[in-house]
Amino acid sequence: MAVKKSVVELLKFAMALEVAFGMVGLLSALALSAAVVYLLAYVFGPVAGAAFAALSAAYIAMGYSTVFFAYKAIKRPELVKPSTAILWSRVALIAAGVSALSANLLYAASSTLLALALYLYAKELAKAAT
Amino acid sequence: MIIELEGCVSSFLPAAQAPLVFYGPSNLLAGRFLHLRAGDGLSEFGAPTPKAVEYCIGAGRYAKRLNPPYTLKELLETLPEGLREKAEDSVCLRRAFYLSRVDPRPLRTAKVYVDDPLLLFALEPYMSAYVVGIPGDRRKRAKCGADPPPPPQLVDAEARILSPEEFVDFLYTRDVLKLLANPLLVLKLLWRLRRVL
Repeated sequence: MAVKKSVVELLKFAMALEVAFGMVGLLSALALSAAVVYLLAYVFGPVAGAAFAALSAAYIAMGYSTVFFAYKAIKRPELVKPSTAILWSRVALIAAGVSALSANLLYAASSTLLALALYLYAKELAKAAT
Repeated sequence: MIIELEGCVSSFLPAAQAPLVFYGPSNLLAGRFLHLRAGDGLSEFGAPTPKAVEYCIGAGRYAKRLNPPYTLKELLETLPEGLREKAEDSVCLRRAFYLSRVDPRPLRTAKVYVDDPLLLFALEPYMSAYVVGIPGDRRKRAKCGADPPPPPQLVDAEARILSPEEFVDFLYTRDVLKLLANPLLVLKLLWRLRRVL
């Protein structure tokens, strides 16, 4: 049984959206976090600034790695395996949660869509293999 | 990890902590055990452990490179020429794929006895596995206690095999549930974060 075409199209659409919004959204997040780090370091001392910088660096690294994954996979979606789909779906979900908390709404929406699309794709692959 | 038992097995098993799975002659059992069987079925999607792949076609080290879940096609791609043909025809491997999707959730508190090695390999990631007759990673010599062990009591049970889609759901939510089921771990994480901030 072949993979449903609509799911593959949804995945491609979600990946394109992720790449587009990810580039812009994460750049603005980078600027915002730099400002917050400066403010925190000024008010509470360097340790608070460093702690926030570490957290935001983890978030931005996670975000950019999903963007990079989407950029790589958009050309050959058939290379996405069930295990990688599950892994990146979870990463995208976490990134979406953090983005929503930091009011980065466009990127949060695209990440959620990517997580959903990857999850559906993993299920579709499972059904096709049985 | 599979632990090979030697010595007085019927004295060791009643004292061992549940959940556990045991494979070997059933006359070595003592106490109450679920005798687990699985229905017929073959599949090409699942997460057979390297041990199961080793048991079926002797290619465990190739299966180690794959992350669960995977398909038979993915496994074939990692195998060298000679083994690939063997794997393509292997009914045992297809059975291992099918059994690897066993649902371990109802067995969380049980002591399980299986007479199918593939079912043992499928349950091994979720509970401690003790065997007689299959070489394991570690060996344990059990000494006999003073009291005679209670007579064996086997209750028949049918293993639930998840459908491929349910299995994806199960893997997707497994670690999250593990974290929620262990509130101490969450508290520890939060405590560490609080100290950092």
